[in-house]
Amino acid sequence: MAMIEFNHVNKFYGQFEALKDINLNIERGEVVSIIGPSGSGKSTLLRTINGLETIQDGQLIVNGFDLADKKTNINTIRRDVGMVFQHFNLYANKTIIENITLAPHIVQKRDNDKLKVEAMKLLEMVGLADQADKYPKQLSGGQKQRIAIARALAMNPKAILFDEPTSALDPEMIGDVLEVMKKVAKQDVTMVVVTHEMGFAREMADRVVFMDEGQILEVSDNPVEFFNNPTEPRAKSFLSKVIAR
Amino acid sequence: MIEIFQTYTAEFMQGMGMTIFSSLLAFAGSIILGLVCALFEISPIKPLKIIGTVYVEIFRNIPLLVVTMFFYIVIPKYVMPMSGFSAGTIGLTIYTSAFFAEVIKAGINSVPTGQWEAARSNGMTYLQAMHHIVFPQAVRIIIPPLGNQTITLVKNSSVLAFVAGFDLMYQANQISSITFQQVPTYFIVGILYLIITMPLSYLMRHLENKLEV
Ligand SMILES: Nc1ncnc2c1ncn2[C@@H]1O[C@H](COP(=O)(O)OP(=O)(O)OP(=O)(O)O)[C@@H](O)[C@H]1O
Ligand SMILES: [Mg+2]
Repeated sequence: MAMIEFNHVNKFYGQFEALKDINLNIERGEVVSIIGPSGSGKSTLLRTINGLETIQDGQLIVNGFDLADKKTNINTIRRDVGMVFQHFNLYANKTIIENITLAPHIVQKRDNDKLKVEAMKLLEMVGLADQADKYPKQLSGGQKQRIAIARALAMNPKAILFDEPTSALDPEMIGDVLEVMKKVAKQDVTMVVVTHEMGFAREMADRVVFMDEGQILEVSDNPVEFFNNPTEPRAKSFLSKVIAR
Repeated sequence: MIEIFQTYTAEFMQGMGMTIFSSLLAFAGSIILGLVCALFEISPIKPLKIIGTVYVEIFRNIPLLVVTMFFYIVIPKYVMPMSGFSAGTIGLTIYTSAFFAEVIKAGINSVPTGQWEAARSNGMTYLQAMHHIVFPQAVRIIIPPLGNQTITLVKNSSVLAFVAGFDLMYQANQISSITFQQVPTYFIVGILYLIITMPLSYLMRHLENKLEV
């Protein structure tokens, strides 16, 4: 059974159709990159997966739960599906270590002392063990984003959704975050990554999804080939623009 | 002036005590009611939202004196006996709670949506996200305007004078009608109100400074 299954999904913001007949299966452990021009619906697609946006039509199944089904408790899905945001959204009133342990403690009811030990291991993995007792506003953007990834990992998720995790960062910070993401990609957690980092998509993704105007125009299971030689004309013109930049 | 104060010290002090007592009760009541109304107003549950919004709109837009008179006249006539002090304090509470609700609602709404989204994406329920993440951040924003509303509440407690609530203003009316010394009497009362509200202003500024860092 796939981790995430879109069957003929449509999404409207009022009259505006943001997602048009989306069909996509994402397997467990897969790393999928979603690329496409601004306003093409990448964030919208990602945010439907954990119910931050609702769908109007079609079927969306995440970790075996049907999101349109009234009986589905969205919090059950969210326990297993983490999210990393463009602007980090660390909890401003909590220290770094509390940011990581809070949800596992109150949502999964795990023991706080054990969680702290685990959190320190995660902090080591993202290279920020010395920042545990600081507050988010004392950290740089790149550090915040690495903490956000650690926060998502602390729930032991089956999947993590990344929405342009490096877009708000200074260029010299991007590398550190990508490094952490590569470590995550080597674990068996499913990753759906909306990104403008074509390098990450090419190198780490099992598949690349190209979107434009609310539609999926091309799905490639050979990212290197896709970047060298996209079949879809709009993907071609998009890639020539981003690569020229 | 000093003479008047010396002659009527007991009355002034009783009035001041009543003003403080009524204000304290109304403050506690307004915090609870205001918080409940604010949570109702922003609730994703439609009926609660409507109840909260209607309550706030009604009591924010009726003069305090009218609300108080309702409890002083209508309730004793049809429901149960009620002293002027109770009627005044209840009226003051209900009126003030509508303003407290607005301040609390605005504070909660000013917390960035990203904080909500992160907490909910982390698996927290609406109430967990509110309790652990959003409300604690809102408190910093709420405190200064809430302090202002609290000072207004103390001043508004003079409405008790209209319903024989034995507060400071009531005593002043009594004393000046006996002595015909209106100017010194109300001067003293003004100072006594300042003695209550100035420390509140100071406390508020202190809290604001503490929250800055
Ligand atoms: N809350 C909303 N209400 C109305 N329209 C919206 C809303 N959110 C997004 N849209 C519209 O839906 C379309 C897709 O937006 P989305 O944010 O998914 O694009 P995106 O591909 O993530 O773009 P970007 O690369 O700029 O982040 C856009 O036209 C946008 O204006
Ligand atoms: Mg986006």
